[in-house]
Amino acid sequence: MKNISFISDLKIKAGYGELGNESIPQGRIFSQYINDDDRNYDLRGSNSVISSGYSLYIIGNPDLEWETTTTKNIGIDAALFNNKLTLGFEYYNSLTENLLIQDQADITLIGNAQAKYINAGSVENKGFDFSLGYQDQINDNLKYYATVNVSSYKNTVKELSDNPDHFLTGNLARETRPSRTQAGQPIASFHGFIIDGIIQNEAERNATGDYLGKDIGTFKYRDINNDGVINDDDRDFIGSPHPDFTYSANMGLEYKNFDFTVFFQGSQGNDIYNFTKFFTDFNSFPGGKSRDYLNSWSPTNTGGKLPQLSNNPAEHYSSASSYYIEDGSYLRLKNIQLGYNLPESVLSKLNITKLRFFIQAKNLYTWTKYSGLDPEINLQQYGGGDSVNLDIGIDRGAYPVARTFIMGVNLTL
Amino acid sequence: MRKHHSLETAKKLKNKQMKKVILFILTTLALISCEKELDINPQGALVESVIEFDKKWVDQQLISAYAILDGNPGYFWAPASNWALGDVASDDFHKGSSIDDQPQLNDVERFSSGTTNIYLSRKWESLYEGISRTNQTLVSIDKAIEEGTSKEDLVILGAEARFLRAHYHMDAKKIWNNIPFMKEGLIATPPNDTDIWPSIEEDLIYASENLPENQEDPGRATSWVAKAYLAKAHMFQNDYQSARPILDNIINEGPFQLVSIYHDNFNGDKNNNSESVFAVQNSVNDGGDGFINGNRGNRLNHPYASDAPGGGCCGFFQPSQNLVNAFKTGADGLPLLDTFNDIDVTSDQGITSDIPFTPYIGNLDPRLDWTVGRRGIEYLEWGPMPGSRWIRDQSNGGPYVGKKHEVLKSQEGSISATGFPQYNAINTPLIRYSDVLLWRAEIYADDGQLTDAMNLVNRIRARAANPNGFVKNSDGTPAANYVISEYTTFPDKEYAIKAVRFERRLELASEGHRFFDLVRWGIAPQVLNKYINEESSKRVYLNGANFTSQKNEYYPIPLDAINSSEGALKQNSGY
Repeated sequence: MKNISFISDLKIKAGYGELGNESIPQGRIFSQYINDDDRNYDLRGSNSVISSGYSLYIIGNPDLEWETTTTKNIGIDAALFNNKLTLGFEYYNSLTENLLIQDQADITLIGNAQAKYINAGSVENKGFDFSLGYQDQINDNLKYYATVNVSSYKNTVKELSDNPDHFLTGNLARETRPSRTQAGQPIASFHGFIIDGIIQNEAERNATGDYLGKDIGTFKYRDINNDGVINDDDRDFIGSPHPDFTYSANMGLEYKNFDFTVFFQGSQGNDIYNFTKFFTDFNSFPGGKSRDYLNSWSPTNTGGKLPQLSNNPAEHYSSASSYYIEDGSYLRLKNIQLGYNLPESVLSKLNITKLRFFIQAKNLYTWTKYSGLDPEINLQQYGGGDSVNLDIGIDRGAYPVARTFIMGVNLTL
Repeated sequence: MRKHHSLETAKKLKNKQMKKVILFILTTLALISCEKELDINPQGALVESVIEFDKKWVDQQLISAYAILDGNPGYFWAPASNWALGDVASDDFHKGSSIDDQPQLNDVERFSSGTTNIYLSRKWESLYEGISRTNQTLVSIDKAIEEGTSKEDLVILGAEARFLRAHYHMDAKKIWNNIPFMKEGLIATPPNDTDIWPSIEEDLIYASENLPENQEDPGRATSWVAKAYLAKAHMFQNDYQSARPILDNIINEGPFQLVSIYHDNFNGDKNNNSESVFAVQNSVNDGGDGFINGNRGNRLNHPYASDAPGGGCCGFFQPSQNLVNAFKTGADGLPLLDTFNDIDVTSDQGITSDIPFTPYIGNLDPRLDWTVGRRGIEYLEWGPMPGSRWIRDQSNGGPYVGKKHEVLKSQEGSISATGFPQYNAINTPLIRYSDVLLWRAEIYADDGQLTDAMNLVNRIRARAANPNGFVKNSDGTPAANYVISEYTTFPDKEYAIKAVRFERRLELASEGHRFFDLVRWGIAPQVLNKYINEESSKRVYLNGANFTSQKNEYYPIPLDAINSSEGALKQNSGY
């Protein structure tokens, strides 16, 4: 090996490890009772004096254990051609068992109380991380570098409970719960009706399963179980918030006193559940509507995107459905910067060590087909810490990242 | 600059969350020892192991079970009065407000509620939270006995808990029919494939046998309250034979009496009067936020103007023209049982508040103006109702507003919450004595005891006819042409049944009973489809609505409940 001159450094690695995790809210082995105004009551009929009540608020589970993640990995790191080219690759396969997770809250059994945490089933993640870098200088005046990172993982829920039909839902999006976690699927997959366009004519209407308000100009819901009726039994998995891969690229260039860096970041193949359309595209909430309203189906606009406008929308219009699913892929120019260092000759006259002027733009441009404000929400979680990871990639109106322009001076005295 | 800073912070937070998730998914290699750090005592809550299970604790659990009678925290989606599912879904009320606010309620009104309708999911959650609290109370009783409290000391509290458990189940039964009965100690939801009336009755019988006739706290159930509920349970099964002796017992030996002034039933200063059988005890300015225990269920249902009770929010719950017409009386002072809706009581529909309007001059039942706010009629000391200026969108919801749940102007800040006028302390009536009398009248009518049926109806009408109880103009004269008298004959059984049902509608309008009564009588499809047909000429959004027989009698079971029940719960037929 020593004699292979183009190899500067080479490392082959393999690993095995187990990691425990207990990152759930404190005290969840105990059942807890609280007193608040929702538990107080004016038993005495005084109109203004309440009696104090207590009821169960958190359901404890004394049998809770750590969850354990077992990870196996194998990889290679290499630096070649005098450290000009660096290369890294790692493949991993991790299995989380005794998954610590909040159980589905059976509202009939526990009402408003918070469901207990349980150790449920197992989840597998496998994937790779790849990086490639190159740096060189052409002469004393011109140096450059570039690195590219690509990561990919595949997530699968292997088991949740003894009942293969058992599933957990994510948080509410108004009235629906678009996320479902079930064995055989990636965690927090999207679940709902599948819409195959808009009913265009009599024949299509007859061919579509029955639902209240079904008519020419309304959605063509897919009759999954072929029983001629569109109801909750016709929902299915409709998308995944997990990307095929994520990537980034970092490049830099120095020429004489100028320096230039640029950083791209992207995600490919993840779906976003664009819940903001609930408010903007349907008659489900007062307020501003999207321009797509103008492109509603009508006998003269049969290519319309939205169903025919109505004060009394057909059944299921506000249910979770494939209408909300969008390709969340994006490539974003996260950072671009151009700097200029004053030359030594000037600095010495001014009696300072360093003076650099720069202009910078953050989030200057995003390439995406996503129609919402910002596609960079793919792993954002919503709500408190109580349904960790069961609710991913739902855009409930996430605050978009800002495009920022900065002009600056670095001064070293 | 500040803004930029906060953006940066927001972004960092987001990145942090991302990292947390990524960490979880791409767990790095490490070996960490497993100390039992999961068992750290939580702050700000009582952990089961430190609770002393005694009578006081049992009572505190029971109080929490009473506390959710008002539907909290289901908010206006789970009102105790059932105004949404019981009145808006009937021929009495519209959603009101504007067409695009709370569209789920349009679906309720049009019989097109889906399985995720929030008025259903929140109601379910709130009722079963109530049931859970009653079961917690019952479990605590067992623990208290184990820890040395004498069984006798806990009998009444246990009977109250079982009464409340029956109350919540009965409300759910009326709404969904196929529901599971949740007993104490269950670890999973049982299937909803058996009729749970027997279990409800069992609880009510136990309560009626173990509760005292009087309780010091007027909010607590007594044996008489439990009996009234038991009678109601029988009425809802059309089991007149079982209801009859219970109702007779209540009427002959019970403590209840009609109050002489009809509006005293809806006056926060007259809560818990002799006519109130069981009511939600609303309270305001009671410490804390001061409004949480007020009538939250009706918080949207105030006129849409700042010079009206409720502070201007939000114009929901508007009476139908059909309901207003039902209060017309003939020259004989009796309702127009068959023809009431042929000609409308004139209204200010389409007339702005600055254009003069003369209210209807025909004969009216005085209860109309305690039930409905209409232009030109004195509105609870707030002055004559000014018409469209108080209405959010008259073209949508019509010209009327509700009234029974509103405070008198002089009660601002005492019966309504200071600073939060949407909430007030008028109790929400669940059963009134007139309700009881009219059940008995129904049975008399069905039995062909026409005079007895008529006499009970006339007791209700005589009270309504008390001129001291009329809405008055500022000069003390009656606010409208009130003509009401007692029936002199019920000529046949059919007439008697019709008259009793009609009286029930007039007497109890806006108290959440109407839809459930129509279903119980088996006449919901006829009555409601006729109503939609007639009323849709005024309320265009009702066009195309249809009450489907064998389906819309009961609401769809919330998808959340089905999803979370591990397959135990099945959807109602037709949904």
